[in-house]
Amino acid sequence: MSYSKLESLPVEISVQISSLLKRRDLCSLARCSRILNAHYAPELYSTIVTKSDRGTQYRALIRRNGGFLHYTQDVCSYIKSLIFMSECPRNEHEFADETMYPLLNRISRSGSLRLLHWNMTHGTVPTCVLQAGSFSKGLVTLSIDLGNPIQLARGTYQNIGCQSIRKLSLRNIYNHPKNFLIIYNFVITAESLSHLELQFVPSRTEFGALQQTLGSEDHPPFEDEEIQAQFGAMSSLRELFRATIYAPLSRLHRPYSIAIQYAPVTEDLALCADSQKIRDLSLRFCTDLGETDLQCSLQLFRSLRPGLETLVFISLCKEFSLERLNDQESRSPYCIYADVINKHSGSLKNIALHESAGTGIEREQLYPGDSIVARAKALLPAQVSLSVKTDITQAGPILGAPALPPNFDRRIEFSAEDISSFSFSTLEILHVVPHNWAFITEMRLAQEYDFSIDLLLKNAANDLIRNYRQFGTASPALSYLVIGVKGEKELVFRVRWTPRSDRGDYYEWEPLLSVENQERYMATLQGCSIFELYPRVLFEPTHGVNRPFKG
Amino acid sequence: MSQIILLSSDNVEMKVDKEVAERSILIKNMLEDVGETPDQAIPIPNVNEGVLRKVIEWCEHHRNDPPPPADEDSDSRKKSTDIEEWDQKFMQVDQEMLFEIILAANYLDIKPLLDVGCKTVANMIKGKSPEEIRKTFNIQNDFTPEEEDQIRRENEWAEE
Repeated sequence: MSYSKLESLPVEISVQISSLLKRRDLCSLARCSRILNAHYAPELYSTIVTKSDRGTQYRALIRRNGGFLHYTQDVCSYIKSLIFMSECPRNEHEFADETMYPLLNRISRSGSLRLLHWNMTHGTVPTCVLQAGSFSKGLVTLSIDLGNPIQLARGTYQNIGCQSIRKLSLRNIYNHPKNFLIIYNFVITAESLSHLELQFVPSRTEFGALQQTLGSEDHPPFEDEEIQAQFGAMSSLRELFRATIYAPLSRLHRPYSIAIQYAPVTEDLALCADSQKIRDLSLRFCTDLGETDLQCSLQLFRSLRPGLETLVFISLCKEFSLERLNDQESRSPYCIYADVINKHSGSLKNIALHESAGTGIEREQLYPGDSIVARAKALLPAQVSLSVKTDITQAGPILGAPALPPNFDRRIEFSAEDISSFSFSTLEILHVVPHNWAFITEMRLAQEYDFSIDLLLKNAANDLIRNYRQFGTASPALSYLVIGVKGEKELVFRVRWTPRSDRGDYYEWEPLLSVENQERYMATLQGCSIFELYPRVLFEPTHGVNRPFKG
Repeated sequence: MSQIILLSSDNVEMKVDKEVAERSILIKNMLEDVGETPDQAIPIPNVNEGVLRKVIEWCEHHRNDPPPPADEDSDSRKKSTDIEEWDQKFMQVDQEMLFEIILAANYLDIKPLLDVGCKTVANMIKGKSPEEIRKTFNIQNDFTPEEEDQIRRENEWAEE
């Protein structure tokens, strides 16, 4: 039998052609003949993404495109990445477990799965997803929205974990005892862990808040019988974090990258971060910072060796102040921050140091009495991407809703105040991504709202830039401002600066914005490695507790 | 300007500017290994005269192009199927020649030419049904009806 030229191409060329095709075309190609199926099906099925842009619940999602749940063993052997993104309300837990189990079981037998994302908000994670790591021996990246685990039967989370996991991301973590046991089991079994991300949900962590978030629970997680049976009696949430997370982490792993959000920072944390090899350290919205812990965190920063690429430290502690630290230290924390920036200037790509209850750290505090702009330019990164999550109730407009809220363009709450002013002195490109702007992409609505979206982005850019004033003899470095949702809708603005008035040695600079050819600049901007490395949260806004921005 | 001689698989010699020939990473590396411009013809055993002439024509036209970016996986290069006008005309050849050029570019390690070739093929596939693709590329459907049905069901989600 003779094959066509297309069928006779070497595999590497077939792979290159497949990378240029959309899924639908790849699908048609794989249906042409056995040999083309053998060439292109692995590419077609290597990544399965099941998502809903409009909050479709799991059951509806399965009804719409759940054919993948019935894949043959052959097809399952091609799947390397499996991603679920939707909503999974409480009452869908069992349904999700029943439907997912056969698929995960087939995939695990093939041993091909490398990445599993279960980003289903609001629900209880299916047991089989938790256990996927234990029967997928080659799994490298596991990312799960843990959510409220109240429906998980006791014991189902005991035999989880995976030796091969290198990147573990657990998000949407409620302070529930079952979640702590899940984290503990993952941490103690992942022998090669190099990246750890733990995002707890914001709560006051004490009695009332716990009741509010967990409904039927009426006792703090550290008083849970199962927790106490395994870890002994404890009296605070801090001790629970220490026993289930920080202690095993420091004993077993010391990853290259640690990102923890809404968790108490205890003195054990310093032990988790190997100062020799840590590259990314992100402690966001740290709670419960006592003086000892704060000193410990600062000590940790000082001990970090050159090579650090990301440092984020945002405290929720209201009492965090210069004076208080000065009682303990001869040097202010700002000097320590400045030291960190100096020490890592060769490698630092992202830095965010804030106390969220305060106004942020000013350049003057970092470099008192010095040539601020010149020094900052030399020390700070040239490109920073700001990722802002606006709050629906306060700011975030939902475009495509039946009627746009009145004055929607004035309700976006991000401004230069949300960005530490020193960053502007060196920025060349600012990329603003408001996460919860929901864009409806259906054709019939796209035209109707396209103008509104553009207008909104333009107004956002104007708001942002108008609030920014820089004083200095050199014009600000910021020359591009990108606003929008990455990959969905973005506008690129070219920023030019003119001196507004002569104030002796200093000018006040006025920005002139112009919308530039999007396609022309996006190729350049998206090629910035910083976006590829840190696509989600790169720079933290400063804000008060009533403005819950988070990445 | 120094020239080198390339010898096609059907034993035809072609004189080419060294700079042009060095668009091929394979030839460039060979010349670097030798250390000086060789007097003897460099054999290109996998490429016949007709194809080699086409490849040289492409290299001549693109002799002053900057080298391709080192990052092979850059999205812009990978995803776009836009082809320059000259390259589009260059690729207006019969299918036999198109695939021969692709294979030659792959063998000679000329990534930009390989890109253009793959984009041309991808553009020929885009928007077509399986039956239309079979017709375009002269592919014989060797699936049983049952197999075809199974694959169609498995692929349904991707076609939405």
